[in-house]
Amino acid sequence: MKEFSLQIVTPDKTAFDGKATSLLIRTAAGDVEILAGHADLLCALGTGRARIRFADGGERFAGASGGFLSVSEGTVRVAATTFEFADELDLDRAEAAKEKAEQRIKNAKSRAELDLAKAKLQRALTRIQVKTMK
Amino acid sequence: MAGVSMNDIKARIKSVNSTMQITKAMELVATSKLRRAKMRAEQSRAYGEIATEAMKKILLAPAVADSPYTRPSEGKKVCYVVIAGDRGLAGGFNVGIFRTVQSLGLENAYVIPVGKKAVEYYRGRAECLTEAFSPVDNLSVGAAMKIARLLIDGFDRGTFDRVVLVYTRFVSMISQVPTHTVLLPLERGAGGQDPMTDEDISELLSSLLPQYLGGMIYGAIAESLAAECGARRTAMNAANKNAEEMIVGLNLSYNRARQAMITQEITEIVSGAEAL
Repeated sequence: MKEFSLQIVTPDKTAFDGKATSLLIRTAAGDVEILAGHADLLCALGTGRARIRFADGGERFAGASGGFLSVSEGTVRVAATTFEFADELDLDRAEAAKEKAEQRIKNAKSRAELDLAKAKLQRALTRIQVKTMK
Repeated sequence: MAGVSMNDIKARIKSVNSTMQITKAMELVATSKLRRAKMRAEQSRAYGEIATEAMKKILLAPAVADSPYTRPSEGKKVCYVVIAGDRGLAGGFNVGIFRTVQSLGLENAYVIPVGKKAVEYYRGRAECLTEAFSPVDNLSVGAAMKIARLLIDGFDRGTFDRVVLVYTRFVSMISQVPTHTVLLPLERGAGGQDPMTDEDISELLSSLLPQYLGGMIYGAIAESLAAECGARRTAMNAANKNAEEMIVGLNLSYNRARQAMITQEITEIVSGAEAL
């Protein structure tokens, strides 16, 4: 399969910079899979699982949330708010975050608070899903 | 006896020496912190570049022309996000930032101070929206996102119609420059066509804006931290050199005083012997 160059960054680090054959990621409108030669694209990312496939057949999973995906002139760039590969994730922390978010949803006083707590819960659930998946 | 007593000079030397020990230690700490801060700043730069590039593309689209975020400011209130340090002893680092804000004009403005020094400085001097972002040392991406949400909230409500980010740019180990960038309203590019996207451009803009602003603010914080360490290292290095010079000078006067005392004693003995 043809490769394309893929760059994944978050505000505090570069999560991935190299070649890949496929990128599956959750956008605001649903999952998209990018292969080499994809047309130019710009869209917002949602919260969900991401999968990168490599030329040697290997694949890596990650939890991603927020930010955007841009394809321009064959280069794929992901600027996510968070992007963590499965081996970087801490299950206990994600579980704790999930419980905290659930509490917050119950106690939310305003719409904004509720939205924020829901986003936090979604992130925690994604992390747990990526970590426990095998 | 020549001018100052030998004991006085000895005490001075001791005190300068102990000051030098402190400044030397601070220089070492700043150097090691600088290395880490520099790495952090460099790593956050990639996100800033990619986000800015994508934002530019969105802003080229004709559809964003009537978005509230691109409407030129009507001269209502300004909100400054001022990023300073947590501690002093960094040369002109904090003062430089405050002076930059001053030159931009503090009348009719809100301030979101980031860092202990900024919080202390603007308390009572300006209308602060929050004092929650301090110390700056361990602010996370999440905190930067919080600032971004705060800004968008205020902007949406019309509390202010211009947002300016003031921080120190880390140019090199020895050069740090206070700068400011206008975060809101967004500046539109001229011409251009719609970027390829399935989504409504204005919707895309408003969903990306918090993350874009948060990324920019986080980048500025990382940059400012590196600059602070750089400034402190330079200041402490200068302090060390000054202390060394002072000690050399003091040693000289100490030896002179000692010699003068010996000479005087000899003179006294000789003249005493002659008088006999």
